[in-house]
Formats: sequence, C-alpha cells, structure tokens
Amino acid sequence: MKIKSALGWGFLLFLSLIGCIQPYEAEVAEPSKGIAVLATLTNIPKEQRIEIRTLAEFNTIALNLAVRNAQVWISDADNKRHEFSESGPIGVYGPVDPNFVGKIGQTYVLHIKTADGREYQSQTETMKAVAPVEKVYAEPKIINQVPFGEILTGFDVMIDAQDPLEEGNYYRWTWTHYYNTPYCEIYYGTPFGQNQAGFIGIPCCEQPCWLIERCLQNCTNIGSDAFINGKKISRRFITTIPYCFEDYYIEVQQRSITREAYDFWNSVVTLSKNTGSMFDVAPSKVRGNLVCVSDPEELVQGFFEVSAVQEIGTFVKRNPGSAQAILNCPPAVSADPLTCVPCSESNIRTKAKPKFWNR
Amino acid sequence: MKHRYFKFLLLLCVLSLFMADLSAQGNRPQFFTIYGTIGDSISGEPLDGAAVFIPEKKIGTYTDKKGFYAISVPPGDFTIRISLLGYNAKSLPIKVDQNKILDAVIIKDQKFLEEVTVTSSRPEENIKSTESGVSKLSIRSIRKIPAFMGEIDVVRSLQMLPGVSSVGEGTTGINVRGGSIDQNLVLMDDAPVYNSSHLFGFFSVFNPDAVRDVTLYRGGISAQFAGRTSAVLDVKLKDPDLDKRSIYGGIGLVSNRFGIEMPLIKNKLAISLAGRGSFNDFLFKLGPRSIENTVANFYDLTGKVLFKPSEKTRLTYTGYYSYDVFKLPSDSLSSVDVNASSSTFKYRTFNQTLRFNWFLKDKTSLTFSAVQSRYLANTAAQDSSIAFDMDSGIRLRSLKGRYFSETDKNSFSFGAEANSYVITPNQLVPGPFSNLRPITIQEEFARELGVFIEDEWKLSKRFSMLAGLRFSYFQRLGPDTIFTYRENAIRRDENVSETTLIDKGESSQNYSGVEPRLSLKYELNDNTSLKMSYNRMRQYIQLISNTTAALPTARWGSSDRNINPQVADQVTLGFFKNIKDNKWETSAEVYYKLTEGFPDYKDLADLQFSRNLEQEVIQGQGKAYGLELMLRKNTGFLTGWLSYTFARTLIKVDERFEPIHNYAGAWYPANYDKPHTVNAMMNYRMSRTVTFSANFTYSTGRPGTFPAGKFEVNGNIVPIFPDRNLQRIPDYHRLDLALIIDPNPDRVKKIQGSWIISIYNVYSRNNAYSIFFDLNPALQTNSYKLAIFGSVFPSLTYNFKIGGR
Repeated sequence: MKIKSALGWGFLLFLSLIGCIQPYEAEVAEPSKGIAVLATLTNIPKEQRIEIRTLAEFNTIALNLAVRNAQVWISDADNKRHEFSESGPIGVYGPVDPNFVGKIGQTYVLHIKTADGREYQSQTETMKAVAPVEKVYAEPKIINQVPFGEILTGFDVMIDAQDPLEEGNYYRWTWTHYYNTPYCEIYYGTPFGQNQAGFIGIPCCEQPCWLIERCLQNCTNIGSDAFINGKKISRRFITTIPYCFEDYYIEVQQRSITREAYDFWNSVVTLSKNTGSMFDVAPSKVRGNLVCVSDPEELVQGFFEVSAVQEIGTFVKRNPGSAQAILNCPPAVSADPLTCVPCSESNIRTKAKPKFWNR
Repeated sequence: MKHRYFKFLLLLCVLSLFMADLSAQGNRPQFFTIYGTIGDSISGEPLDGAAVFIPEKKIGTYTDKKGFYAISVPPGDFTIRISLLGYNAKSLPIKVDQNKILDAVIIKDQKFLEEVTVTSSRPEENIKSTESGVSKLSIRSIRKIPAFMGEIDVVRSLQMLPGVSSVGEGTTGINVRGGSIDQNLVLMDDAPVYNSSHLFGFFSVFNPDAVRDVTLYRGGISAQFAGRTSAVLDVKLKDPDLDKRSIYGGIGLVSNRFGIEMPLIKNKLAISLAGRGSFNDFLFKLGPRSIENTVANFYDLTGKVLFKPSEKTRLTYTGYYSYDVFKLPSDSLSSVDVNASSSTFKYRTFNQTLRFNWFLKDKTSLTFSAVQSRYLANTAAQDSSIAFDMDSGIRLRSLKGRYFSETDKNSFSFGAEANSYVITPNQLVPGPFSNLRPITIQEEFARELGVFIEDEWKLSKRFSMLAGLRFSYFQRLGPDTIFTYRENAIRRDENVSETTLIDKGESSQNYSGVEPRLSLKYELNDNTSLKMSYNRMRQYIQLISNTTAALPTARWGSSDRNINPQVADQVTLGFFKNIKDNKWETSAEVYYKLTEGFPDYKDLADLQFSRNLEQEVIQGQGKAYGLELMLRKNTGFLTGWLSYTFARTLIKVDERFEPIHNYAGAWYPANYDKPHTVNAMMNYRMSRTVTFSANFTYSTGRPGTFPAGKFEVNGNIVPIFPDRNLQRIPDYHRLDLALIIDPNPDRVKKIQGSWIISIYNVYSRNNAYSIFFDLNPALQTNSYKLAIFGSVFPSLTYNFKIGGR
C-alpha cells in the first residue's frame, strides 16, 4: 500500500507540467566495490538459478560483469552439499544434478567461493509452503482518449488466490509466456529472390517448438497479507499483454517468500523507483542475506531466496468487446527457405509442451 | 467621560504600585497629566506604538496596544506632536492647567511612503525591545513583496527573513534556525495549524485578505508559547470593522478571493467573512495525457465575529476551514500495491477560537481563549473490490488564560494552558465489496498542561530583562499498548520482553519539566544595543515523515514510553545598531541550538501503518548554529533590506539504535541544511500610486544523496547509495519583480481597485527542485535536474475594495 509513493509520484507529474528537466552532471561518490548475487531455490525442477555479478558505477554504460569460475553450492540441514556449476548464460550457475529441488520445511545455506579465493555465505533460509493460485484472467485495459473515445490498449493479466489464515504470508509472482510459431528466429532483411525488405523468419528445425518470453524490466512483483490476511487475494496484477486475435498462453508462478525476502524486494522496488524526488524516502541500504566471510567489510548485495512455488497456466482470451482496439500482433513474416534453427532446450526455446497447454 | 477618569485613576493606582519614578515625580512642584487614545482617522482603530511628543519639553511616550498614552507635564502652553510610521504626523496645541484628556486621530500617509516595516511599527524597536530574533510582518508589507503567480503568501514572504528556509519551492512548511517543519508552532488567532500549506506547499493556508500581521519568534520566545522546539509563527487575523461595511476581493491566476466585513450593531458587533478558492484544474488539461484527469483544488473560509459590549470587554470568535483535494488519474497509480483506477487525496483544517479580553484597568488585562484545531487527511480509492477510505488526523482542544499588567518598568504576565490531543493514525476502512482488511491503529490520547510566569523588567534606561519560566506536564493516556524491549536490543517485535496494556483514561506515561526563558538587553547608547537570549522548549507531538518534503497525508504522533519528548536549548547573542536617525537598521545575531530527542527514521521505515512507531523512529541529537546579518533601510522613497545567513543543521542518532543508512553515532547534515543564504528586498515608491518592488534570493543547495553504484535483480536496477546527505543539489538563486498600482487617494471612488503585476524568476533560472537519477538507455546521461519553476512566471492580479477603511 504505497499510497505515499503514488501521491509523491503523481505530484511529481504535476510538477513536470510546469517544470522542466535537464541533464545534470552530479558529483558522485567513489564507486562501490563488491558483488551482487541473486539466487533462487524452489521446489520445482529447472527453477534453481544463481547469478553472480560485480557491482558497477551508476551510469548507462557501466556493466555488472559476470563473476565466472566460482565454486557454488547449497548445503541443507543434513549438511548435504548440492553442487552448482556455470551453465547457460555466463555468470549463471545451475545445479549439477538437473533434478535437484528444494523440500518444503527444509533449511538451506548458499556458499560461494570465487576464483580469487573470496568466500561468501548466506543466512539459513527455510522453504515455506505456498497457497495455490485459483484463477488467472485478463481485464481489458481501456483509456479514454479525446477525441477518439475509449480505446483498448491491451489486457491486464490478474490472478486470484486464497491467503491462508495465519498471518505473515509473503508472496512473489513471476510469469512465463509460451507461444508456438514455425519460426525460431526473426530478422529484418531482404528475402531470398525478392527486393523488398521485410521481416524474415527462420523456421525451427523441429516442430512443434515453443518460444518462451519472460519479464525483462522491473519484474519485482511482491505482496504481503498485511491488508488481506485470511481473505482472498484478488485482482493481483501480473502483467500487461498486447491485443491480438489469438488466445495468449501464460503461466503464473506464485512463490512463498520470507519476511526478510519481502523486505529485500520491497527495498529493491522502492530504491529502484527512488529517483531523487522530494517525496522519496531517505536513501538507504538494501539489506540482503549474504555476507563475505573472508572480508566482512566487503559489500555483498542480493538475496538467496528459498521459496515453494505454485504454478498455474491458462489461455487468456483477448476479447476487445465494444471498444476500439489497437492491434499489436507479431509482424508478418516471410519464411527463409534455405536454413533452419534447431529448437534446442534453453531459456528461450523448448520442445517440451508447456505444462498447462491443453490444446 | 466618567470611565476615562476611572481609567486614569486606576492607571495611577497601578503606576504607584511600581513606585520609583512616580514617587519622585510626586515631589515636583505641580504636574498635570495629559492622556488619551490615538486612533486611525478612518477606522478609528487604536494605534499601537504611536509616538506622542512634546517638543518644548523634550519629553514623550508611546501608545500601548490599545492606543492609550499618558504623559506628565508642568503647566503651560505646549504642542503635542503625534507621529507613527505610515501616518502623517500631527501637531496639536494644548494648554495645560489641569489633567487633560486628549484623544486624537491621525491620517494614513498615502501620499508619501508606505514603508515595508518588518520588525515593528517603531523604527527603533529593534534597539529598544528586550527580545531578539522576533520579526513582525504586517500584511501591508507582505503585499509589497513580489508574489509567485500573484498569490500573496504569508509563509513564502517569511522566507525572505534571515534564518528561515525551506527544502525547496513548493514544499510544505518552513525550516527555522535548523528546525524541521513540525518544530514550528503555527498559530492562527491562537489556534495551532497543523498543515500550513495548500497544494502541497505552493501556497499557504492564510488568506491575505483576512490576515492583519504575522510575527515570527525564532530567538527569544515568550514563555506564553510552548509545545514546539524551534519557532513560533503567530498569525493574527484582522478584526471586523465595527463602523463601516466593506466588500473586497481579488482575481488571480491561481485563486479568486472574496470577502465582506460588516457591523451588525454599530460599534458593538461586527462580522467578517473571507473566502478563497482555486479553480486551476484547467492547467492539467493542457498537460500530457497521463495527468489530464488530475484534479487539484483548494478553498478556504475565514470568518471572525467581534463583539464589544463595553470599552473594557471584547469577545471574538474565529472560524477557519480549509479544504484541499488532489485526484490522480489511473496511470499514475499502476505501481501501487493496491491497483486502483484512481485515488483521491483530501485534507482539511477546521479551527475555531473563542477569545475573551477583559481590560481590568489600563494596561492590565485578562484574556481567556478556548480553541479547537482539527486536521484531517483522507486517501480513497473507488474500485469496488479494493475500495478503501483511509483517514488520519489530529484534534486539539485547548483552554488558555493569561493575566497581563504593564507599568513603566515592568510588564508582568502569568497564565495557564490545558491541551487535550486525539491523534488518529491511519485508519483504513474497506468499501462494501472490498477484499481489503480494515486496519485500525489505536488512536493516541494525550494531555498537556502548562503554567507560566513572565516579567519584562526595565532595570534602567539602558538595561532590561525579560525573564520567564514555564512548567509543562505531558501525559499520554490509555488505551495504549506499551512494549518493553530487551535492554540494548534493536526495537523489533522479536525483542519485546513485556507487553503492558493501559486502560482507557489511565496514564501510560508522564513527562514534565521546566522551560526557562531569558532575554537580556543592554543599550550601549541610544542607537546600539546588545542582546542575549536563552530558551528551553519542549515538544511532545511531532509529524511522522521521512521524505525530504513532508506529504500532507503524513500522520502525527505523540511521545510515549518509548519515544521521548524533544527538548531544545537555544542561546542567541545579538548586536543591533541603527544609524542616521533610525534610517538604517543593522543587526548581527548568532545562535546555537541543541535538541535532545531529535527524530529520524530507520531505513525504509513503514510510517503509514506502523502500530509501534518506536520501531520506526530513531532519536538522537540535533545541532544547529548560525549567524544572521541584516541591513535595512526604513524610510525614504527607497526602502528594503539585505540579509545574509550562515546556518548549519546536523543530526546524530543514538548509537544504541539500529544504524540508519551508514551512520551510527556520527553527525550528518539534515535535509534542510543550507549553509549560505542571501536575501535582498527593495521597494521603490515611484509615484503616489505606483510602487516597484524587487527581491533577490540566493542559497546553497540542500543536501542530497546520489548513487555511487548499481546492481540489477529481476530487471530492477537498484542504486547503491553512499552515506546520507554528503552531496548537494546546485545552488539556488532567483530575482522577482512586481509593480503595484494602487488607487489614487485623492479620487474618491466607490470601488477602489488595485493591480499587481509580478514577474517571478525574472532571469528564468532553472533552479533545481531535485536531482534525480534514471538509467534510461535512450539518454546520454544518468542524472537530471528537475526545475519546477524553471522559467519566468508573469502574473496579474486585480484586487478591489468597496467601502470600509
């Protein structure tokens, strides 16, 4: 219920009406040194992921570089060690045993030892059960634009769920969109034998192949039961999707998180929106659950999140009703007949039919 | 006429009580007393501070607050010369052969100068008065300061005085000598005002048509004021005219004003009503689509009734109501946890004062007042499944009594005050079909009692002393839940060792203490004086806000077992010198203030719905010190002032608390720490009807915290902030001009109209309101400056008046 930030933000909008914004060369303090870790351990396969990066200066060009060749493992209460290794994108570590999942009620500690010998460790985290998602649905997103009247710009995907009776439940939501197209890659160019440029699709070598889309920017979506304890979580916003004719397949993951994880994500959201306005809360540290064991002074950002996940998937009908709608479909594509892209299993492609794909 | 003799006898009686000079006079051969009242020629209102002088004898006196004077002379033929700044001097011949009554009226000097008088009506007041750091602005002088968007603004004008600043243009409240905005006691006819801003802080809640004068006490604070640690802003409203009816108003860019004053029973009962409203929604229609449905409006109503059953008694009732509404369109709320399609924010002030003055005898009076102040803030969303109404507020009921008696050498007063507070933190009430859970945070009940005694004692011609002592007692009342935390543990739920429940009406915590106040003045000569003052102030209620500029919806909180009251000690030293027959005034003041229990908040504190504020509030020390220099010209066609302020404000939180940001036990600058400020203000009377005025202001940029690094999680780029408030936003400076065209005093017209043409920010400086950071890859840079009044703002206001003074 960050009414305050909304009020401040709205007021900033009001100010921007009469105000003006200019680039400004601010004198910035010494850049911070250290690492940032984002680790998730869940109770479903393929959702175990540990990403380690360096901190970077606060500007558009500085990059958070991947920390490579680190030793990464998770230990549980029975002192069992679950090894992770660098797989897929650089700086991202996955379990050596692809079937490794966490167990509800079990406790876990993350360990990292970088190539230069620095050691990091998380606090002990417990996996907590989570309530199922009851319903996924979409509501048309309509704006009133003079002189055109009501215009549908897309759909807000929302969920309903039942919050358990006990207090102190914290949630984080993520989503995955799967779609089935003949093309595994699309580029802009001149098709073979034509001279008019356009979008060209390279077919997938195997069919069917599903492409996977996830949230890319400002994806932190968290909630607590502070206002609704024991009642229904309703109209919880997940994402906005564009308007096109086909039904939209989406899977939503509801994750249980701890109070500390909620505080961490909450400060991430607050601070990443904290732009320096008058109504920002005073700047602060983001308190994670990791420390550098070998050098306690070193700044370690990030969180080791241990959560149970409940997934739900459905085809969302995109019915514009009577409103005028802005159509936002994938571009028309002409096939490149000469080549194909293999549908290899990855973060963005899969040959496996999505769990809730019932068509 | 009988009562006048009676008055005179009483006066003699009181004077004789305080002996000294009078008894000496008794030995003189034969002296008679001339006495009477001096009033305004049109309104007949008694004039305070008018000089009554007998040139032949080189003796004189000043009128008191009721316009009364008494002067003792040997028999003979004399001239009595009456003068007062802003009035034409008047000389009257008088033959003294017995005690004589001489009542006179003097005429407002409209043909010549209407000086901007800041401290007081008497030019040498700054030398003669005992207290330092007291500034009085009459509404007449406030009108001469160029106004933003043509809106004459009491609080904005105060920022031209040394020692007064704010965190930025258009922010709520003022910071006085290193105090936060809630450390100022803002009184409107005795009733505290809990939010003195309209439209977040662009304009103040005081309708200029209704205000008589404004006094800011920032140094020597009288023992009759209490409850805040920094300053007292005493706004006095005009009394309705008992004699003539008048209608007045104004049309401006932001708001329109209308007012009426009328006697109901001539010379006995009169009423005034002034209203002001803004209708500026159209501004949003011109803006981008995302804000075109924004609503931002305010209005306020100020009413006063004056009943004067006799010369000795006066009863006044003041009622004030203000209302602000701010409605945000859907798009701007998409990031809020409650995903409403629109939210409305409203806030209201409703104040009432009933005041009774009884003039027991000359220069002796009793005053009683009963006050109710209410402030309510509301946030609401309408969508059925998540509809809610959230209210917060504060209500004060207060009774005050004061006895005042003045003699030649002493001004003595004592009084008592009883306050009762009800603070409503946020209460969330879901709509009928809403899935939200209601949230009720226990209301806070408290009582505050104060007794004071004060005497201003003119020990000799040169030396005077104002000594006061106040005793205050605060009681937090049940129902209340008190947590006791384990010793030296961070205040969190898991560290609670004991929970105590307090029943309704029972005392849950008491605080009390004495508040000594002392001001000393020593005149080195007629034009030079040295002053010293010491104050102790205690504050039991505070605004709970951790944003740079406070939001109008921020809640109030009172001291309890875990949150200590704030106690501030301030010492001021001042040097005052007037040159060239009081034409030029100069002053230099230094102050040092130390506040115990100064609040700050833990990192990312949840202040809105916290049930245990002590888990969010961190207390420590506040330290403020500075130097204020002022040069002012009082007379001539050109008047004005130039001031320079050096001020620092630092905070240190107690080490036993959770460190905020990276600080524990170290001093760091407050959000409003602005070391250097220069203000210049000038008025030039070009002709009988045209005045040109200009003001210039410069100040160091306020502190800011700029990110030193970043990391990314979940597509969120998270800034890493270094220690708090180590950088600064760019310095601020601005020039404003105004041309005021008043009606010609020679031409008597039914409607008297005046025009104010003002230009705000003449050289169109892009003053930074804030520096903000955004990593938009489409842009070259990551830091930006937001200037809210980044260009020149011309405006035109028309004011009219029908009838009256």
